[in-house]
Amino acid sequence: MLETETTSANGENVVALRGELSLAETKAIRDALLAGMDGARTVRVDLREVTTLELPGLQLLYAARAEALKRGVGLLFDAGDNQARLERMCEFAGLAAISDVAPSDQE
Amino acid sequence: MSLSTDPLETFREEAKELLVTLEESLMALEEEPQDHELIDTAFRALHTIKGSGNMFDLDRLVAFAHTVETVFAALRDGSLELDRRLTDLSLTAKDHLADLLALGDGSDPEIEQRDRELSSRFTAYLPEGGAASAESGGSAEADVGEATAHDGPGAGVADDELKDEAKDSTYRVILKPSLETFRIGGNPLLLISELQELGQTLVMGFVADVPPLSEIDPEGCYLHWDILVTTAAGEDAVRDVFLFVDGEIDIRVVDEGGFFDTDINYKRLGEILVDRGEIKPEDLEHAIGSKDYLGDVLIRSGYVTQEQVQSALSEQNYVRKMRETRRQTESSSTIKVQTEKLDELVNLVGEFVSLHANIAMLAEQKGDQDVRSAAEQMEGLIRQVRDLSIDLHMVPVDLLFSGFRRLVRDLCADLGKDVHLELEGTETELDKNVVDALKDPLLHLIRNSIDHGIETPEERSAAGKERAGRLKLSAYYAGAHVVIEIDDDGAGLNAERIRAKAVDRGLISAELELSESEIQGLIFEPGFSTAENATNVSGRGVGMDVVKRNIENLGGSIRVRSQQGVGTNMKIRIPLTLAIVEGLLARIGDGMYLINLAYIVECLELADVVDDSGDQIIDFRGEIVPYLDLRRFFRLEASENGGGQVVVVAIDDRKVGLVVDGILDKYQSVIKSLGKVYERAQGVSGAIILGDGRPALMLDVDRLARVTREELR
Amino acid sequence: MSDTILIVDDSVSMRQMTSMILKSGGYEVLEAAGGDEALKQFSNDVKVVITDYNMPGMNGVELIRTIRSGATNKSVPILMLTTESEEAKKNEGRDAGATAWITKPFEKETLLKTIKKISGEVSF
Repeated sequence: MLETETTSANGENVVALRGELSLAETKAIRDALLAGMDGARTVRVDLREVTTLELPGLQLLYAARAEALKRGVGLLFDAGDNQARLERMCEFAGLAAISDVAPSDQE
Repeated sequence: MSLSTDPLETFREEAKELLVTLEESLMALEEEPQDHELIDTAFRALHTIKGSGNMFDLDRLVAFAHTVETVFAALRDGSLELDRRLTDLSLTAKDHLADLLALGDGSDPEIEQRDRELSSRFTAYLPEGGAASAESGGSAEADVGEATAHDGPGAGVADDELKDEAKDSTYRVILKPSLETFRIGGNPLLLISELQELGQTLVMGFVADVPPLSEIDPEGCYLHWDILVTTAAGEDAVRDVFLFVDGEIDIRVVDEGGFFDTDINYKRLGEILVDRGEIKPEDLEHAIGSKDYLGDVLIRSGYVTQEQVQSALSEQNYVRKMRETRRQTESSSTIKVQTEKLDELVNLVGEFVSLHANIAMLAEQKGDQDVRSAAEQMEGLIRQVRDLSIDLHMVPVDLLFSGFRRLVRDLCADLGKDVHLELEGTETELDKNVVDALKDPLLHLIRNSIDHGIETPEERSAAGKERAGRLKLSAYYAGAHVVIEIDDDGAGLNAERIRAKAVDRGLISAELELSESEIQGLIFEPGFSTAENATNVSGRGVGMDVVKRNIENLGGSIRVRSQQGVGTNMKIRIPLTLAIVEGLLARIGDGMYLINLAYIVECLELADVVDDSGDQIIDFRGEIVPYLDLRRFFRLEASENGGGQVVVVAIDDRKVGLVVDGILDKYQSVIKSLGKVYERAQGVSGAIILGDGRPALMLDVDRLARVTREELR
Repeated sequence: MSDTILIVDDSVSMRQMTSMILKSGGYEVLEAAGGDEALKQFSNDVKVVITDYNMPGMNGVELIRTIRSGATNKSVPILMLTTESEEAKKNEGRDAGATAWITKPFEKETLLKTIKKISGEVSF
């Protein structure tokens, strides 16, 4: 199960993903993240309440980075207590750590 | 249907029901022999009995069900028509199946006899005695023995364990799961986890192909991996992990365990990338020309991505670490001693040996029995110490050989050759100094072989040879010598061309008649070079004459044997150790000479064996052997009592006699290099200082033997 | 909670035997005699489906296709069993979306190893 919530605060959109980032939820995750990026200068992805992270879910976080780079939107990941688990999973899979994307300064 | 808790009992119940189904469809088929559905039902009943029976090892039942099923498969696909006779036969078969089911794995001669009869009657319906398949899709094994083989995943693991020598090898796995992977229940992380159970891994994942969110198929898999795993479990075990991968998978060994690799450095960055198929060799060549760091150049030119370079560098680092670890484990039972210290020890022992020879000689001169017997006891001890210190100084020739793997690989890449290097006798031990001194000559010979000897794959194909050339380095003991052979299956030496060149360079006169092997030997003459256009690999500066001189400086010799179109063999003989030579002390004129004991066959009175014909030959046990009067050779004054003894020496089984004035004693000594003064002295290769302080010269037996044979001609 | 495995086979004895093996490996087992019954039993709790190829009605490959095109838990790992040793059936299963396949008869260890291979979890 996945719950998504998008809020706006201090000129920054926050997309909270709660529950399972599994294959079954990938479309919902994509849609929530894409919606959060629309018209935003910076998006914060709140992963603090993620309970399960599967590879397809993790892959979407990299896709989100690619999208943010393409749009010039800032992207911040906030995993809170999940940070260590997230890093461990990236390391296990031999993938680059999920890193933030700075907003482009064109505007 | 009553359910038993014993699956076998359940199977019996089930099979009985299936047999009833089979009987019913057969009866119905009597009325409507063309009914496809009825045939299908009968087929399925037989198939299920076979499939389940298999699980319970009911071999006879399975075999017979298979035979009948095969006939029904033919009925099903229309290649056979059902007639009354076959229906009757099938009903008999149904009864027989019931009997087999009841029989289980018991034995009944009557049923077994019927089994054979019925089987052959069914088989008769099939083309080529039953070779057709029970399955419509193709030719399955008609042999039930095969069908009962356990060929699921993991099959063969036991075999691997048997032949496994528990040597760690490193494998590179390139894993590119298909886009569909996630959708069909695949999980690459499980593969990684399973691989980790085999041994140490380095996992390199790539996210570069993951598209931006707005373009992604959220359920597709865009990730791919390069994984290195180091395991003793064998390649099959690694492949087994990836049995069900949907996508591309490439597994290859990048570092073979089990051999002592002196070259701790792994492949170069460019090589790894080419190896992985990420860059074309010509693109790499193009980039190598640049002065900048290769990785940067490759990324800038768009040949590869940052990730790919990073991954290749990680691989390089990983394999190097693995090799370091391996070497450390291998050498844990030894201590390291600096070579200089060993050199010093060997030298001191050598001095010791000389000193002892001195004492023994003095004792002899003074006729002191006590000192003489003490000196004799000392000799035994000194011999042991000497042997031990030489032994400490010995290293396996592998140290030298395996370093050439890299050279061969690089040369092949540079010259567009394909050469398989074989190493043999790598455990043969040699004095470390000899090994060091051999490096350059061998390097040169290997270069020559790959550059000029072994043809390009195209030329080889055209000549009807394997595309890949073979280069073999082997080492073995031969008395106090070690023989090293460099053998290739290349184009061989072209005798005509060599001869023409030698004449051209004034090395021989055009009229001189030479045997094939003598012509080949010309390549070692100073000023000779076979290369018509010297490449930057073999170079022009160093000729084969230098190789020969280097080897002779080690007290060794080199011979070439070659057959045009077939290959070339270089045979190097070198003494086990440079430090101490055991020889026979001989007198020629007023001088003392040492003849290496390793060459000596026998010493004789010249007068007993000399041939009266006036030719310089002796009769050595019926063999005609040429001899050389060393007094004459060294242009010494004739002394009245001279020329009495002949020392028969043999090199490569070819004997010659060396005539000296007298033979004094066996002698061990440290050999000193002759220094500049003697460098051009023919026939001597070193000097020693005798116990009484007088010098003695070491005879260059190899050269003298050659001179002897030349004179005879 | 142990993982639930759905066994689909028209042969009772095969189901019984497979079930015994899986239970010994610590799995919960659901059984179905054919494709239609399997789809009724299928739920999000099912961690792996084991299906026979040759069954009356809906065969194994058809079942796999149906699961893969379904709405819930359609990416469940599916292990297909075949008696045939030729590639054709395996490829058919593979194309339909089978995660793995083994040939009957199989050994206990082979079945458990394969299940582990496709159903294990890598913790986040």
